[in-house]
Amino acid sequence: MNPNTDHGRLFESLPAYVLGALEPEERTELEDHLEGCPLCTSEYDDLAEAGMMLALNVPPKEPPSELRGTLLDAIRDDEAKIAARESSPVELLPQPSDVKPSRRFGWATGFHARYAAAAAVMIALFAVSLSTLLSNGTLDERVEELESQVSSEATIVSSIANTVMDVSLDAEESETTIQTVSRLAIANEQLQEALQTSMVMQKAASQPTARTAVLEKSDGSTDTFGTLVAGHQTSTRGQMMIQGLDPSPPGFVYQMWMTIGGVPRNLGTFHVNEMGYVFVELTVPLFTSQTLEGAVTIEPGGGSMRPTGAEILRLSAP
Amino acid sequence: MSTVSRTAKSTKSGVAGVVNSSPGAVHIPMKDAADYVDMSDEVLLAKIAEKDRLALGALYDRYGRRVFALSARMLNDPQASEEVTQDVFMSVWRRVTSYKPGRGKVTTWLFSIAHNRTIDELRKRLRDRSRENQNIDDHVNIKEETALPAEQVIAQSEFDMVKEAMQRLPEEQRRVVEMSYFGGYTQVEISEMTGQPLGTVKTRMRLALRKLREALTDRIASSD
Repeated sequence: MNPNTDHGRLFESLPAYVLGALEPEERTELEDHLEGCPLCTSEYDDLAEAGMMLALNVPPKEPPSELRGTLLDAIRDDEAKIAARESSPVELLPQPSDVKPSRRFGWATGFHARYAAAAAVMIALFAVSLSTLLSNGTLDERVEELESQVSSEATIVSSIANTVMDVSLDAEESETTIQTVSRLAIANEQLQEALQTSMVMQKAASQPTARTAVLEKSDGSTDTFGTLVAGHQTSTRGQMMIQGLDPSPPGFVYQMWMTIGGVPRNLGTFHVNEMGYVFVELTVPLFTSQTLEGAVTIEPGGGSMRPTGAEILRLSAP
Repeated sequence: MSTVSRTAKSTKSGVAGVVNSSPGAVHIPMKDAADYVDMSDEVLLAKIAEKDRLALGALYDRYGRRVFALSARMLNDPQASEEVTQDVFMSVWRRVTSYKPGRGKVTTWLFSIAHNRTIDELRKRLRDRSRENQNIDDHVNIKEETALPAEQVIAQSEFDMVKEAMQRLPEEQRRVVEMSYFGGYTQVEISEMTGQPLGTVKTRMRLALRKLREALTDRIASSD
């Protein structure tokens, strides 16, 4: 490793980083570098295991008994503050009463159709993701296809925002305009997130031992669907994305299960965003069969040890 | 009153083990702390991501003594160590999604947070004092303490393994590890204090970590 390059210098700093021997600004620089450097990340992960051993070099010591309660109280307060901040959430899809029709241009009324188009973009993108994920062709070809699709759809969302900005001429409409553009910005961010996660899944699916399965409603309807990519025999890493799920009811979560040897294994709980989309990285038990089976169920908050709720989606290999 | 059995069953139409419930079904919430005792660290983190406070309590029960001990060992101040321990678990609560399951153990991630937070506190304190007048050994000597009886067997086994691995390190490598990890000194400060070139200090750090990593690997291999 050449220490004269930025990468080389930062690579050489990894042991000091693990030992906590960098200055704060050096630590920040290295952490930024780690975000995009697989080589340094791999080296760090290896050295960090040794760093953990040093923590074990200190025998456990009982903290004051009241600390546990203090900690949980602090978390409760933290959550209460967050809930208070979110008590007036921005509703993603505006209701008719939220937006006054424009006297001159009628753009606000038209916004519904445009925003619905943005939502449709998400669904279209996901459909493309799913089809490219399951299609033949090289990884590069599939990623290129995705990029092309998302690039054009993101342009649509961007142009909607610009149009909204251009036609808003008086003060009465300006506040509504800001809200509208904010919503479009959220949609655009979610679109970009969907692109990123699609890339991750494409790459995961291209691994020689990867297995890809689809999540579908058992009644055959196509408004809700998803994919799961999991390692086979060699890896416990997995990724899942789902589109079109309604938000889980208050106090409930969605929970993913994978059936191994006839027994459902918990893969974790999740929520979907405002557009019914979710991408999660999962720890998947090693499995040896060629098929993938499982389900998504609705469960009480925190999840269940075994499936107890209704089956929402069924997982099966295509 | 209709109820839903929590026993896994096979259904003809559904996935094995998934019990379809009616809309009015009564769900049994998993809110018994005892349910969390046998969960893996990864499952606990998944539940923490869902804002499950009981899961955080379970993680604290599992590792709170370790985190507190590390901080107390480095700071030698029980009150400050208590604050650091609380901060560490608050960070886990807020930043749980930064844990990447494929990149390492939960404990590696957790103790990294704990060590960084303690280092920050230690340096804040050290800035207020002149290091010229400090005895390095105030911070870097390993003091043996007695583990709690319930954890004694496992903790002592781990402690003995790490202690042995540390003792096998050449003196100069062990010294830079102790000065940095437990003493909170930067690599530049260690270079100045020991009179060794910075490159030498870096090399000793890398070699020491590699040897500790090998000791861990050997232990895992011998326990299989």
